[in-house]
Amino acid sequence: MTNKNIQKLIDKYLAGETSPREEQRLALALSQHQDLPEEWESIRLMLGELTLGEAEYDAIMAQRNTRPSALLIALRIISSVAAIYLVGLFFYLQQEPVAKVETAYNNKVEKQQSAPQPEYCTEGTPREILMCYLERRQAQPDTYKQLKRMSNENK
Amino acid sequence: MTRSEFEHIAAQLRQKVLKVGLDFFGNREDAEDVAQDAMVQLWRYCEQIDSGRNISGLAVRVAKNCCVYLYRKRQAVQQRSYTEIGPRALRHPDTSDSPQELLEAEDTRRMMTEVVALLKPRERELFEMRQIEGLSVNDVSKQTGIPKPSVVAMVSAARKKVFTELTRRMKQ
Repeated sequence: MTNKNIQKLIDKYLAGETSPREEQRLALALSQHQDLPEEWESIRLMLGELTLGEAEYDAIMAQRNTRPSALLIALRIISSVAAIYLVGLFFYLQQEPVAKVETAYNNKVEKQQSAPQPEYCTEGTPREILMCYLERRQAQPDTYKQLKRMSNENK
Repeated sequence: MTRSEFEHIAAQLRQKVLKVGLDFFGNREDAEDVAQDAMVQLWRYCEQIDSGRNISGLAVRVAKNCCVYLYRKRQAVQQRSYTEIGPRALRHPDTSDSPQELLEAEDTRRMMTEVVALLKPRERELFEMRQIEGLSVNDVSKQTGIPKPSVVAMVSAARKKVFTELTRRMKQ
């Protein structure tokens, strides 16, 4: 509080118009002021110990209400971290498991490996042998291109 | 107020001061300390209060002072220093004041009592209701039946008299 404001409050106090709250503010301001003039020292004495004590009581209570304790801050941090972790875990569990291709646990790969096809199309009617040959040729074009090239070279 | 009159209302007052202590410290043990301290101070002071006056407001103010005193005392013990205890007026005479400071505080109290005693009885009553009991103008008006503008005028006159006399004595 500035000296001008203190003087205004003192004038109001001497006029009997201050509220108890204003008197507490004045007592607190005067107690914190260094090198009080004699007139202000008189006002400090008049306001008395009770007014000053009450002002300090209210100031401490107000400070407590506005400043969170260290324990509260720690609890807030812990709860924030836990909340973030739980949200992340929730979304992670919502994902459908994706089967990894070409692993030992892939059923399709296992089936292909466990039941190898015969090297040549030899069984069935001639039409079935022909269809088998064409399917294989379509499935493995590179192999058959190479075979064709080799057969041409041998001619 | 006589001691027997005080004893009659002591239980009721104790509940009030205990609540102030509980609000401040949040535990029963410290609140009991505050209540005991406040009741001792009220007991010492009660004979200076006019009979029939409601002193519950004063009891609450005294209890608040006791809370602040206990709080400062503990802070001072933690810091191992009395330099930050706070206003000299709040210190109780049993711990940190030097003999010279105690004498000065006693002189100041005596001077204040003498100056207030110079007021007219009605002025003194209103001055103390505002100053010691911490009542607002409205409350003083309700309790005394005196209109608010008259209360303001009488309190103002009393304060100016006390202020002039105190300043004069301090300059001597």
